[in-house]
Amino acid sequence: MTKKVVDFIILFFCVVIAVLLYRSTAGFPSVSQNSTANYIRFLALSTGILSLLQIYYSYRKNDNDAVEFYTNKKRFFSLLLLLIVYILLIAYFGFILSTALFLPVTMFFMGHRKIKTIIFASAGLLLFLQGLFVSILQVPLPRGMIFGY
Amino acid sequence: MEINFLQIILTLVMPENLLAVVIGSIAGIVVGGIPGLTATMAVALLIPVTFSLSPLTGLILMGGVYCGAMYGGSIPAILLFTPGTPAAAATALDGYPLSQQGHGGLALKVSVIASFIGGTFSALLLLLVAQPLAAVSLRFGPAEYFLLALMGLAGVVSLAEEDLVKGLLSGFMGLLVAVIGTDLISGHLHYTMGVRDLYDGVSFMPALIGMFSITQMMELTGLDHIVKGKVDLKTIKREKMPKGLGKFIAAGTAAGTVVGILPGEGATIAAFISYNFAKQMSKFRDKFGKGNPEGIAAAEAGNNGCVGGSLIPTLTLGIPGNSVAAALLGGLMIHGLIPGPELFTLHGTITYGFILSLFLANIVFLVIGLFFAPYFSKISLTPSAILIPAVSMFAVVGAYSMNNSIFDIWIMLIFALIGLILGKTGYSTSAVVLGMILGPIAEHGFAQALTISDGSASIFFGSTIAWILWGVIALLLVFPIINIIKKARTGKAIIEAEEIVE
Repeated sequence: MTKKVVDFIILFFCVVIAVLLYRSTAGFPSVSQNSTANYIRFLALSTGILSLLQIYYSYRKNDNDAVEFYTNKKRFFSLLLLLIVYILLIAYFGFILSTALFLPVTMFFMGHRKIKTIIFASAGLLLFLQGLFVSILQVPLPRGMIFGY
Repeated sequence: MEINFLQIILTLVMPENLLAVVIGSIAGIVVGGIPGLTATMAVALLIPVTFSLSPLTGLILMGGVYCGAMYGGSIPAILLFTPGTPAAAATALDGYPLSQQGHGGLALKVSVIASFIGGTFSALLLLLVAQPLAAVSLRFGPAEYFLLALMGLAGVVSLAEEDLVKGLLSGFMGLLVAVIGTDLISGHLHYTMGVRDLYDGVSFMPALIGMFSITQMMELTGLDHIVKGKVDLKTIKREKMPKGLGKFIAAGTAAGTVVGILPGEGATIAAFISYNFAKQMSKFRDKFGKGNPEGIAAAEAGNNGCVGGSLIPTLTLGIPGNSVAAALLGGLMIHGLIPGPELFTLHGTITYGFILSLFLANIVFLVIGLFFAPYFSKISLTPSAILIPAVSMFAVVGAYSMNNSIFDIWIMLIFALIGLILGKTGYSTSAVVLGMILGPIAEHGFAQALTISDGSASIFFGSTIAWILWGVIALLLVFPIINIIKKARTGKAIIEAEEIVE
């Protein structure tokens, strides 16, 4: 997809949001009609006008270069997928167990092949986290629905 | 009641107090250096620890953490484009490109020196003019707060000078996200879609972590290391401070201290405003965002300048300058120290001892920064395959720990993708974050002002401070617009000349 096309999609989305926001203020309670509703109208109008202006500029500009969201497709999507799975796992198995799985698997998928380094780095990070966050700072870490940690 | 400064200094140099400064500052650097762990969180967590300490030692410990964290946030911001604290986001804009060019050590050196100057000056100001300056902040009403937020937005323009409309639009995107949540005027829920986690709005910290840290990790998937080649410690140690940074540090310090004094304004806004001022002042504007040490100097002086500034209204009026100062205020009150004139007379030894300890805390982080900065810069040599999961893990903890919410981790991931798309198409993610931070201030200021004036917009022009703020907003907008017109004319002239040649 070219930069111009992605830009148009973003701007079209902004215009739609601006219109919907402006219309939504009619449903605000009367007490905030003169205050918050006006603020949101101001934001909606400004966003709408700026988006239309940018659509005009983007239309005139020959920005037909392809947008490169990643340079290494395999690793990029692996990371995205691993992050999604990681967050899902945290909700069920808690932080420590999920992280113990996430760290080595991600290191492997990101191209590291030295198993010893992977094991030591993962264990070191987990120990640091447990020591500093849990033991010293007593920062609460996410608990899972199935396991406590 | 006369204050005996000799006695205060003697109390301050007692071993337990000196130890508290050192431990507090080092702990602050560590906490500030870990994305998601903020100075507020660290100071709040320290409150129970200070129960067993004398009031002065407890306060010194908290003050050390505050100062150390403000500096510490710049380390990962420079080396990993992962701001340790939100206030270091502006530092990352030029710090990280310098690291990528192999000058991470230099960036860290500029950062620590600017932080030291900013922090020391603001502590000096706190010591000398705390009470008279606090009176100015009392004159700020809702209309002035709204204008202050507008001023921050006007600064966005210079953040994205090359694409003015996109820069402004990015700021408005942030403001739009910030309207989600409960309306404080009516109690009405706005755009929460029935999701309970959105009742308090979209927390900006997970969004910031997503847009800065995770997006950066996604970018790193295509690289084996942040920096190619070797980091030569000797070369880094020999790298000299660039000349001419003084005025940028001075501007950042002044802006940071003034912004810090205003209740509710945080170090993040101070850093961005300072960064924008520096960009306006610089002869090398084009290099901003590409590794200009002037940007780092101003941003770091700004966020550290905020430390002393934020404590001025805290100690004199009991109105915290920002969230860290609010946590510190909690610590003060737990020890029976009520802000106000008595704090400077009856409890003068504690108060002035605490203020003087801030100077020591600045010296501690300066020494640590100067001696260890070259070693910190070795982080950029860590293989991406190790760095990506490690930073992602800290990012997840950071996003979660603000509200203990797994929903916030999803917010982080969503904003990482949004940040990636916006960044690749020329929008400013910094402006989006700034919009999210300024949003609640702007909304409450605007709504409250119009409620007070019964819907009349004249309230936004009703005071001298308001007019001064309008003047600054105009100044911030005028120069970038003139530059754009100049550039457009030059571009047109070149095209015409090329046509004539052809």
